[in-house]
Amino acid sequence: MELTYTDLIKIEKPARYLGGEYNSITNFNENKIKNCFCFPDLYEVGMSHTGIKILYELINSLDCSFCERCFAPQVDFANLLKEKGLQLFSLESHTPLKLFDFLHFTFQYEMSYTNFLYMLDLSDIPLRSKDRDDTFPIIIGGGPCAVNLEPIADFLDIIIVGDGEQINVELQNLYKKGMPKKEYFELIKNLDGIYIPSFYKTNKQKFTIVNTTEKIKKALVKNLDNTYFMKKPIVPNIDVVHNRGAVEIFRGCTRGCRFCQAGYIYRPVRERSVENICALSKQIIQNTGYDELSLFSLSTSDYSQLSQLITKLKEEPLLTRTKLSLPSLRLDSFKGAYSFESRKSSLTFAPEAGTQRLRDVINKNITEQNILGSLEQAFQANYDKIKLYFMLGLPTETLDDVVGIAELCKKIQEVYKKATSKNKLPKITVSTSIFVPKPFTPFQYEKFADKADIDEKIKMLSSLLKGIKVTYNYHDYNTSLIETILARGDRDLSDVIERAYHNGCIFDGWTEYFDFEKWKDALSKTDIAKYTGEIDENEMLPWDHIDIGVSKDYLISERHKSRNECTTKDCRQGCANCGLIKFGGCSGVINKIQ
Amino acid sequence: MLLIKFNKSGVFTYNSYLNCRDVINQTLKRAKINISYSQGFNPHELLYFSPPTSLGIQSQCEYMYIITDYTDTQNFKISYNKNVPSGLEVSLVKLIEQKPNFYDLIDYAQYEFVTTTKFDAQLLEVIKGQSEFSNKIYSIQTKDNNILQCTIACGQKANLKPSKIADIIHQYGYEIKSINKIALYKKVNDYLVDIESLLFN
Repeated sequence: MELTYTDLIKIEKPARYLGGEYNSITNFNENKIKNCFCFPDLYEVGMSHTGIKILYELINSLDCSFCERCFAPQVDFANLLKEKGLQLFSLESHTPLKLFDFLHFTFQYEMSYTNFLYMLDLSDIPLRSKDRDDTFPIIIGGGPCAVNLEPIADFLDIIIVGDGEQINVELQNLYKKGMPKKEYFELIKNLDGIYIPSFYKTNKQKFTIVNTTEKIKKALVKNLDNTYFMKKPIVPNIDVVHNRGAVEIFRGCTRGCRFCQAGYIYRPVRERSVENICALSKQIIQNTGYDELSLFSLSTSDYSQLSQLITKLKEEPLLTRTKLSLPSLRLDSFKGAYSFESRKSSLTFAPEAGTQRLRDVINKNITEQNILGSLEQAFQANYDKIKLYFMLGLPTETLDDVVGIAELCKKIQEVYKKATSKNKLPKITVSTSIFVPKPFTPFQYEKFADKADIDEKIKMLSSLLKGIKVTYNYHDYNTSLIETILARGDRDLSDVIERAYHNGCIFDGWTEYFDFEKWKDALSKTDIAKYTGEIDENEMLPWDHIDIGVSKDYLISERHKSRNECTTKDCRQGCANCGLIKFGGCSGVINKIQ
Repeated sequence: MLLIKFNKSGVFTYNSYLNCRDVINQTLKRAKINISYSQGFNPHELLYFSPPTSLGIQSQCEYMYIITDYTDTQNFKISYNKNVPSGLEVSLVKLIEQKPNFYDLIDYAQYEFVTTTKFDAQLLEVIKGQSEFSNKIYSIQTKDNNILQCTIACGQKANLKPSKIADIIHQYGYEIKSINKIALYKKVNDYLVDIESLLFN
């Protein structure tokens, strides 16, 4: 790799591509198995992701292997590579991706699929698995989208479904350098979490995969305290989206919101002990020099020993100057938690729906009383800016539910006036996204809303909120439409995605790059309704051969309950028999909420 | 107070001054070197730098001082360099009592422009002949036909950006491999004195 001053001075933030960060590896033993972790988005996004840091450290802790990193480059850098006849290279040793034994791609969101092809293309690696012989790296896909990677299955050699910590160690231990791919795939095919797409055939007519007698069980780590967690995370040299230390305090969520994929695929809840979190926090702060530590999970205030944990962390001399942040707070259980974020001026919450009826349909399990009560406390603690997230296009939604969003904002304004005795309004920002039905949720069968329907609701809400001086932002319809198609897609979509990429689609998650016309062209021969319409509950689904632990019957029963506006209790208040006990991942006894 | 001379090389050549400052702060924390904080609502670490070097230029002559109770200069260098990512290593440390004013000290900076191919002697004359550069170039010469050494005005009284010289080299079709900042000078009685010797005598 020879890039000069003349080359790099033209590039926006060249540091993105050069590596050299503290805690990144510097020894590259050619005899070891060469891995590269690839994140199909910019450095600043990828380096904010904890999973990549855990697996990077984990693989580098093994005697047999080492692991480097690569991110999707900005267009200017990609053009420079092409101009110089170079291929995309790793950050650490600046080795072209083509020369690695394994490339690990993580798929955190569907809109990153074209970037995956972009990275392969920039590496001169054939896109389709069948076109890559043994001289090319083995390409693995993982991350939350792995529960249905059918749309890009033809481009991947292996898909890892579930928790990556143990399975990745097994994959490294079973691989011998120079081994034919076929032989290796035979060796690993029966491990939990391993899905080798080329071993399965699709039935073009019926929206399903045939020859699947046994399901692929997701990989599951049962105890987080015994599972590898990062201790020396890489410290980026440039500012990234989340530039701070992070400890995962628990995995999974007990709430059971019916639209939320993470709430189902990460089951069961597994908490890390207070002692372990404290020990990791100290190590991470000492090894990075960060002044901020994030205690993260899907719903941080649900951690059963949150107050003990905070007290213990605050007593640590090493952490006296460390700012603790608690993301993902819920409106009903963040009791006093905001007081730990003394420098933050605004609070963000997600009621998701404007009326109690619709919140019951989606099983959000928060009441208006919860919302107003919590905000009253926040206002008394001098907060005067709040951001509220809602979804439009949820199943059963009517215009009344949309009016409910504005009504709720009015009530919040009244609570503010009462709580602060100030004769002004709090700054409320409402953001709406469009509901995207995701696999492995009770709403996986739902229809994606029509454009006319969403347009009407946005128009109405916009005028209602303007009338009460609430700021309103909303997501683009077309992005959510493509997201729906990709999320519930099957293998037929591989041609569409490849065509979209060749049309110039990259960074589809970025509004400034997303080009719907190019996608429309790529989809011109596809019956879109097959992916966006309501799916019959009796129909086979493209992801039916994957077993995430929650049974299909349970998902269907939850869907039926939603139509009766019946809620399901939090797992901590009693087991609802979702299937995880039978799967072998849950004891059915979870700490009660405090 | 500690006065420090350090490098900005390797990947840090392409990191902004602000990014480097954050990395140095984190390094001090890892090295357990306690540094004083400013008072006020948003306390920040008290460290002060010599004028920033532009993005893309490597430097052997960066200076900073930090407000700290730490006095062991020998140990500072060892533990700092053990905790710093490659490219920002400290070369000299000195205990000081009076705050230096970097901006008052600097009149000239010496740079080396390394090109990928040998260049024509004419290039030298073209650069010298730029009216914009008049009185701002103290000396200019070539080394091995692919290195242009020049000492140019740097500071409050007069300033010539090295990128302007790079622009001309580019205009003449040469590719620049690297630009290195070698030393900073103060003009004393018509002579240039390396500020290192003034600061670390």
